[in-house]
Amino acid sequence: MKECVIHREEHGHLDILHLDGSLDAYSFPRLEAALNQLRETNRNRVVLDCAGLDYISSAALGALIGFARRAREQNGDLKLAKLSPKIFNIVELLGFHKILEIHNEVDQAVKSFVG
Amino acid sequence: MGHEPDNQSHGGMVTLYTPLNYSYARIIRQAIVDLCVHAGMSEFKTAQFEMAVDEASSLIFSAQERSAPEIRDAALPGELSVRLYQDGDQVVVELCHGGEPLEMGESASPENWFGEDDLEATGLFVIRRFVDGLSYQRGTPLGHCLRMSKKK
Amino acid sequence: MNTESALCFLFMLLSLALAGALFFLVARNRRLRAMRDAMLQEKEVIYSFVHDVSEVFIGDGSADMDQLLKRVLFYALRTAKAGAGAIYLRGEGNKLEPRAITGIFPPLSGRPDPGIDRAVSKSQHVEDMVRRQPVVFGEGLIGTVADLGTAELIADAERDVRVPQYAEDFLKVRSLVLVPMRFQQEVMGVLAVVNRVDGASFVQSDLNLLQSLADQASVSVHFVRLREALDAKQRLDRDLEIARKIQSLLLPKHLPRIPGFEVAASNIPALEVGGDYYDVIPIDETHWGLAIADVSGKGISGAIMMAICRSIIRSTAVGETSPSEVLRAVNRLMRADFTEDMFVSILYMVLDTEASTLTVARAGHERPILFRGDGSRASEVVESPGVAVGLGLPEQFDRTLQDRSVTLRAGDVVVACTDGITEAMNARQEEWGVENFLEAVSVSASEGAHSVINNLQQRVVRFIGEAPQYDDMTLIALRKLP
Repeated sequence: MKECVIHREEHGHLDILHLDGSLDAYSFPRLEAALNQLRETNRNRVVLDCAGLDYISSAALGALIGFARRAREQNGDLKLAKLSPKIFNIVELLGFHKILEIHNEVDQAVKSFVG
Repeated sequence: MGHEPDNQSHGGMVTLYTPLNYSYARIIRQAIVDLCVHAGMSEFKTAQFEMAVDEASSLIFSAQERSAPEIRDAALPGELSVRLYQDGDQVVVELCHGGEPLEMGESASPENWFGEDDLEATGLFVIRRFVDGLSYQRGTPLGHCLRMSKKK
Repeated sequence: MNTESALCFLFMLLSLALAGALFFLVARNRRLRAMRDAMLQEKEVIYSFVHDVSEVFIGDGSADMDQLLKRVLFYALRTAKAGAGAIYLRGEGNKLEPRAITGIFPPLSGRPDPGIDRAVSKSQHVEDMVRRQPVVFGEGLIGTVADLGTAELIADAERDVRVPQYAEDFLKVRSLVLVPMRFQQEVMGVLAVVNRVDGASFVQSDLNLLQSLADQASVSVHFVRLREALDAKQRLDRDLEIARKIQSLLLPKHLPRIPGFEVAASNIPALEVGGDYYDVIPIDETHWGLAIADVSGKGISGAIMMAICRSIIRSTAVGETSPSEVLRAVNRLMRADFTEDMFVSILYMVLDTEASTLTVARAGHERPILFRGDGSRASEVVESPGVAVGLGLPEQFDRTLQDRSVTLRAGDVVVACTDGITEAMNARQEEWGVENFLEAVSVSASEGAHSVINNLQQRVVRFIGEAPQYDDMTLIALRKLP
């Protein structure tokens, strides 16, 4: 239940954001700041490592979709990896799996970026 | 010996009062998760109800923020009362607040989510998706009350 | 054998079998009835407990933990017919603290206390003994029950080595029951009862009843704890809010105009509002005082200390052109109010607009930097000795502190900050550091004091990123107009 810590790991042209904690409305500004920073530096290939994510709010999901959409226009994307079963259940019931690409492992998500 | 009291179903109502402030959302989430697990709700359903309650709290917090910006800076910006209890095979949450009532309008499905746009619509989508019972009553003695229930 | 006797025999066998079966059924029924009665009794106890406790709980929405535990203990003693009992709850670290005690409950991790004989009120003395000895998780009877999460029934305590044997009769433990209080997977405490009032030993059914009670109570205790956490957070938030308000009253809304010079300042408060402040004070027609300070305490106490410090500086500053004299007065007047660990670092500078000199007195604060405006981009640290206010002996403070003067030429910039700036940290735990500070100033020095402040602020904020700051960041800059 703690506030989300976002740790960015550079991987060539790609960034892996490791999430640890809860992404609720209170810690939403942190996510926004991290995504904005990526956008400003034109880095639009992102994998979210959600192994340590225990909660995600609709605002955060919306921000991820927004980023993914813009990134796709630039031949990039934002993909999710290592979602816990309960978070995956939520994402699926909300229909998110149709909008964001979800992988089991981080390296699968990384490899799925072509070019 | 008489009747068989069903203390499990009408047992202990949990009441919390929190300021209308996002930093308290996690305590509300903790309370609802604890009660759901204690009631025997499955992990997935607990997570769903947790999210619905959190989204509802956020709706109330942001509605108050919009209506009275100075509330954000106040030490005790008004209160949200949170009541959690079991009722038969359901877990029930009642959120009561003062100030401006919620609009409770249309939901927006994920295809239309952009993050910056209508946050209330996205929150409502989640709530409606994840609860079994939903009602909102304006102007009760306890304030405007949002009641959500979910079967165990 | 004839048919009659065979039939007789058969009949006898059948009756015996029937009698046996009947007897068996009756016995089983009696057992079942006893079980049912026990369960019903258990349920009734639980029901009335829950009913009673939930009234306490719902009541005014802010249940008192101690009141709740007293109720739980009352029911526990009544149910088990025990003479005394206690409830331990998990506290700080790995300790279990006795939160409720009823009757003469002897310490179960006991060193016998010789003082007991002299005690006027023996029961009070015993209670004090128990309260003074928190139990460590895993140690002793109570600690073990908490650690393993399993209940313990000791029917004959006087023969059990784990139980302390007291010489005094009223302290003797004859039998006891310890049950863990658990919510979901976590053990939050232990309920203990000793010595049945009727002299009998505790039995398994007593343990079962107490465990049921403890299980029910644990739910309430858990949520009361959650509420306690909520109250604690609210108090903290409220304190911070008040501290913020006090601080905003302390900082100048507008900086005065100093003829021939330009002054600018900024303060970025931290999460836990520290006690930073700055001030610009008119001393006389040709002298101005510039102060910047950092208090060791945070929150309200820090803010109040800062308010006092500001008042003393302001009142002593008028007409006094030696900054070290002002700080000596501050030290003298504030010392009395400081506790052992409190101190304030202050940098106080007096500007002489006529002579164009800046005299500096530094009580343990960060050294100010002087940038020459002659195009050389040379910078020098203005050194001057002094310890922080509140540290060491007054004579030491007075002796060490000394004024130092520098002459300011056209375009020169003096910048002072609090350590929140140079020690600002980013997510990678790196400090911003003095180098970055110097670089930021040198780049913008020629554009004026306001530019310097803005530039510094922007750079440090960008450096920090999303990392939380626990120290206020304060800056003040003075420039002699070209």
